[in-house]
Amino acid sequence: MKASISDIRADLLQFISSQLVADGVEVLPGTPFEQLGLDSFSLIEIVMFIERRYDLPLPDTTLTRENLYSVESLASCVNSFLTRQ
Amino acid sequence: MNLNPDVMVIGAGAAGVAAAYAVSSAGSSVLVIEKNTYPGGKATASYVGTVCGIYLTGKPPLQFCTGGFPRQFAEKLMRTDGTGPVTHASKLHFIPYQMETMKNLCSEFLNQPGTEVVYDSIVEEIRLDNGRIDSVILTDHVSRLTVRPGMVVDASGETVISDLAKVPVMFDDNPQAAAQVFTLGGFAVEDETIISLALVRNLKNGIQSGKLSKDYERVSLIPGSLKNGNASFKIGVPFKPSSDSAQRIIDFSQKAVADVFEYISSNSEVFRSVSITFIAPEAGIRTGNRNRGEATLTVSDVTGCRKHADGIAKGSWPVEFWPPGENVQMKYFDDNDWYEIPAGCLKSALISNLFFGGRNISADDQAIASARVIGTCLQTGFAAGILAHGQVRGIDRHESISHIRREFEMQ
Repeated sequence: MKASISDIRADLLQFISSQLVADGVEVLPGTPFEQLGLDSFSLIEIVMFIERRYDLPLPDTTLTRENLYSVESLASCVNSFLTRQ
Repeated sequence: MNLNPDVMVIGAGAAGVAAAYAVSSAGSSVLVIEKNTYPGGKATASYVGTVCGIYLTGKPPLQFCTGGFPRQFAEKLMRTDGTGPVTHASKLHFIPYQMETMKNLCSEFLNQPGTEVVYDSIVEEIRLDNGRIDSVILTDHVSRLTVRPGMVVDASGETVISDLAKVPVMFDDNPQAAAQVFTLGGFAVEDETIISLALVRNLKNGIQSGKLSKDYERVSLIPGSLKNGNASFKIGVPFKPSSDSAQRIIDFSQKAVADVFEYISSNSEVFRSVSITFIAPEAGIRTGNRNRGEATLTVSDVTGCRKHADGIAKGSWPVEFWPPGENVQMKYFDDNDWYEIPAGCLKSALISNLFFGGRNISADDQAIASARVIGTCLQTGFAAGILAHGQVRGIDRHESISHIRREFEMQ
């Protein structure tokens, strides 16, 4: 599936805000996931969301601290996978 | 062996080590009895893996909760282990450690003039006389020994002394989940995040596809444990622990480690060439029955950051409650604040020469979910030791409390 980096960013912000954090918690592209208190179970929910949404399997080795740091870093990672396809 | 020690300490876990150290530093004689053949209690036998409650909860810079012994212990642990504090969700700080380091550190602190330790021994019988403990009968499974201590500090994590003395205890009505720890070695990656997420993701897939039991939903990496290609993991035991579930927990845990390892090593690139290097001898029981003290720590004391004139410990860890089979429940209080534990929570209301320290102090189910962490046990154990020493020496209780508050730098 094709998507621009800003689409990916928007999708992730929407998913995280609605599914993983309490109402009223602000999620910005640069907000570290750590700061939002997202544990490994929540991070995997995000990974699974991406895989479903973009029909894009993400290998275990891409699940790095850098890639899963924030919406921005993750969108960038997903974008580079999609543009490679 | 001194069969008439000033203070007898039951258990050589974090609280027991702290109590013994407090007593010997204060100049009284102490006999410690430990059921395992090595010290550390849950910190070693169950390999908890992290020391929580040493720092205040709040954004950096990190602040030690207390001065004195707990700080000294933590600093020595970090120095020897070559480790440092790890921060979670920006404000929770804990210290990961290697099992051997903890074991050796506990041994060191127990190795003081005036301290004797008996391993592989349990208390078999208590004889009371007029509401006080007159004798404690120990066994090392071969012979029995009668000890007549001045005071007893129960740092066993349970209500060993109260049960044998047949006095009422506080039942653990809401037992938390037990956790089995194991270590895998041979990791090629250096980023814990990859290991943690690969584990969660693969297990989730395995469970969803029916290839792995739903019982293995709660497996996580111990943060900060990745060292030299080895990382440690915790499996949450999904059923409620009870007084007769010990064998069931052992059976579940052994099978769980094998099943999880088999699945993950066959399904994840990250785990392909790892092997099991260690399985903790005991599943970690988080809570149990608790002793009835002159005072009881309540959850509102904790969340309200209540202070007391006779406060002898500073609790800084949030309420961290693990319902069996469910997600952990956290109750935070104000950043950079703490609650104090009153001295009465460490003194038996029913037996005049019995004190307690560690995770068996007089506290309600939610309060103990905060006060059970190792950092707080180091404090309550030490405090129980000073209170016991004080009572044996005929020192005024207020004086003992001041001594503790000075040691911990509590203003």
